[in-house]
Amino acid sequence: MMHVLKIFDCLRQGRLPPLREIPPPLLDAFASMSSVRGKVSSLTSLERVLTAFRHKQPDRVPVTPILCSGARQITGTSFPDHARDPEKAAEVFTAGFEFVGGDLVILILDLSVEAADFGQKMFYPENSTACPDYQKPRIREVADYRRLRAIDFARAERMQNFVTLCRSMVRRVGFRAVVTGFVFGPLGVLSMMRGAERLFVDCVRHPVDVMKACETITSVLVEFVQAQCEAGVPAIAIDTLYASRNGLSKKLWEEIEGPFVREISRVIKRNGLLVGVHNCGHDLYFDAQIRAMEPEVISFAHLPDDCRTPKELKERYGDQVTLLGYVPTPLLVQGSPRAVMEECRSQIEVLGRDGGYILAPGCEYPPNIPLTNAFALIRAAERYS
Amino acid sequence: MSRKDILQQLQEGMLSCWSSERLNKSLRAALLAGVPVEDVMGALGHGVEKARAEFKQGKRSIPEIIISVDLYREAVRRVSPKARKGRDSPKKVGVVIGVVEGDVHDMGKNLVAGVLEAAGYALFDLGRDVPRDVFLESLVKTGSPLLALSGMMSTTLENMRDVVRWTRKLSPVTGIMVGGAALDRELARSLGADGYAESAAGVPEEARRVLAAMSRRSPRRV
Repeated sequence: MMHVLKIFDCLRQGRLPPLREIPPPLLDAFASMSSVRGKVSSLTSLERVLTAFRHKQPDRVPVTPILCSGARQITGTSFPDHARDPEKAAEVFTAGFEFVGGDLVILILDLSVEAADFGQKMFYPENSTACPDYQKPRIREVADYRRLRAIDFARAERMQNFVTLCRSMVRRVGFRAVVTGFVFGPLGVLSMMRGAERLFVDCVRHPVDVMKACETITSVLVEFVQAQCEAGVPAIAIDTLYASRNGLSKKLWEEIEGPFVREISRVIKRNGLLVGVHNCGHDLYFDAQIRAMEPEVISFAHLPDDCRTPKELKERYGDQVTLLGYVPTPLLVQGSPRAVMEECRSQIEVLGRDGGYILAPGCEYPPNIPLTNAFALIRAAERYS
Repeated sequence: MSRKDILQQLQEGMLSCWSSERLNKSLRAALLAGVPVEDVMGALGHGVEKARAEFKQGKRSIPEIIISVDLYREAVRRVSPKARKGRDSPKKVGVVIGVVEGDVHDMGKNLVAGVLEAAGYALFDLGRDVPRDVFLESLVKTGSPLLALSGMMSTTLENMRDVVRWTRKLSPVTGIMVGGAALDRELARSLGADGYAESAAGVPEEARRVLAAMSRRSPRRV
């Protein structure tokens, strides 16, 4: 009864209810009906995405260009304004969604949102994404891991701004698409405050100290995702970049970050939301991340360490998670729209069968390139499904 | 312990995440046993090379390579001035390396520099967020035949293209290698680079290939 009231309350507010509050048989029935209807008519973005999530074949493959700060080009917004003013950021994301299109709107500002609130000094360049000032790392020495204290989330300016952005986008997009939140995993946040190189060495030499800091950070990230849940997004992506060959060994990642991202994932699920994982590293550890977070979706830029081909990926993981990817960033940067569409076509052919797939770039659409190839992605989803 | 065993132990130390203390103890023991400094450095360099090869095969992770490179550099700092002199010998091939302007992510660059150093190159590391003219000045000043550019962000690719263009204009025989998360071989080619490596693991081979191509004065693109 509680669930039904909650669902109706969300619908009344013009937003998607938490999907985990809906009994799976009901979702499956909905997806099956949409799949049948999709054979004769176009589905809405919501129907399309939900059908794909339940591993049923929608009318066409859902698509998202993961257009974030790249959409500043439409509104003429500066990088610093996009990063620091949630209403301007909402205008940018809305413009990207309405001008280019897509079935999902994935909200990412930059990877320093959480670290900045923990006191990391930042650069906000005019022509590039915000990033930490690594000359002034928040974690200067190993002892600083234990000195790190949880911050007052109510005063965490950048995270609060992100929550405002989520709330605004849920309202602006309504039932037209699925809007997703985002959180950088605790190791990622630490890498912004220590520098990845030193952090990696510390993970080997001082794992207990690193884990202590992860614990502190996670206590705040839990509040962060809770606030995003309350803002009305139906799914949140956890970025676990270092669960890949670009980061730690699988065993070390599972020991150090695994328990903390599990906790974050549980909070998201407890709120009835879907859990996504975003990891644009090479040879990422699908198996370890699924064990830790039990995600519904994995956004990826490269094949996992245990799959040599996309076909193998689909066979091994296609029934466990919805795959979201994985058009290469370099191709978007220098490839022609025709080349991008050709890449999309081959990915759709292999990964799109029987649902469980969303066409997308492997990472955020490159912010400073023309939007032509974002349109190519959308066009490919329409043409080749 | 025989000289061979000492060198073997040093090499293995590069693969075992030794502590600084453990490294220094073994270095002292090796030098006291009369092992030539060049042989000591050779063994350590082989250790880094082995770590790199095993990373390439998926048997080692990035933190282990970083630690190997750190240990190697610490050994270089600690061995005798004679060894340092040898290290700066003009026989070594120079490489100017840096992260292009606008980008502050230098882990990949540091790894590549360490791996090349252990492979016997003389590194001129300009750091991160390096303006174009600093690269050009350093190439002129050091006479290095190889330039290695790193960039992790797609937003700074135009700066990388600019450095490549000007290097080509001012020093056509300089080999240019690029790498970073936003790149692949195709994009490297379109930027005008001669070489590309997906990770530090493949850099020494690619450097050799680029230098061989440049020495024939027929710059071959990637």
